[in-house]
Amino acid sequence: MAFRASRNIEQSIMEWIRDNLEDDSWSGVTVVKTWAEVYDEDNEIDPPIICVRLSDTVWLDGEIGSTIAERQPLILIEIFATSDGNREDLKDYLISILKDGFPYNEYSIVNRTITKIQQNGYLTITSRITDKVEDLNIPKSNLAVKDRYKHLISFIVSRGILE
Amino acid sequence: MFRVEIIQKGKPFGKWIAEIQQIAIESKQEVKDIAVQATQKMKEMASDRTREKRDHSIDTNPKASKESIEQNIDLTIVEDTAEKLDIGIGNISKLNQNAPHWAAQNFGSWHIVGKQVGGEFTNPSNGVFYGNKSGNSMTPRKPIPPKNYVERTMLFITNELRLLIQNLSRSK
Repeated sequence: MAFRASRNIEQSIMEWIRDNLEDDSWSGVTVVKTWAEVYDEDNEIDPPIICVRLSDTVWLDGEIGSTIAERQPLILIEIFATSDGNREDLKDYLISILKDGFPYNEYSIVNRTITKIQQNGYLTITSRITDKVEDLNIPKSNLAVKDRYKHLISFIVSRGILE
Repeated sequence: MFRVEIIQKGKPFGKWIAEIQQIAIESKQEVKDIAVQATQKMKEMASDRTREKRDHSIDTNPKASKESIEQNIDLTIVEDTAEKLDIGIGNISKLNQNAPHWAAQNFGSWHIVGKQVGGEFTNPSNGVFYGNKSGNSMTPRKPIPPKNYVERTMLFITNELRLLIQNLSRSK
């Protein structure tokens, strides 16, 4: 079954991050799609973890008298690091590889295996990138390891086409 | 030697400046309206989802205590002059003091899993709830999922400001 645009966008960002991490010799970093995977006690994943989520989407009208519109989803990239230094390095690295845009790919899923079909365009960041420490106002000693060194990068992307 | 001649075409510069100033005045009220809507949206996103289903407004909800996030999200006009309009939504100092759980609700957190948490709710006969004479408690089994109401409100504001600028450009 072929993915629709929202899932293609999420998967494209995840693949771009994974490929770049591998090319630039980052080891031990896991990229996931849902918060549930980060905290799954049955399938424990150690930090550093990068969680990519597509949140709300705004639709920009294409033209008067028409229903065509441009999709602009909010992307939330959460980093669960092993230390403050690891957090700072990872977030700077991710921003450096994302800020100029990345390929939009189309995918399908068969028997829980995701396969890339083809690249079909490019995704560009159309807003300011927000880059902030997730400070929970709780002493780090009272936090789980995964909660101690968290960072959030968020931005809006667009394929630059009307749908 | 070069001679440069500047020829003015179209509107005089002074008239152009006056038009921009007029647009700024007209758009100020619209920006304030966007800020009011954004504040309400942030409160709705931050509030308990079960309360959203009730027919109460967030501000008059009798269950929304003084420590609730939505009761501590304020709209503040920081500066309003001819040259500048500065608006704040949600004072972090106030939230940290009165509703410090605002960050855990926004970003999500695992810190209460397996810990006894007190609260004001009825005590069903089974599940994670248990009660005693001094009050009811629960032991959460799952982490607090992220609501990201701050980031989602920013998306709303960005889009509304873009529409405002687009409409102002078209009207002139």
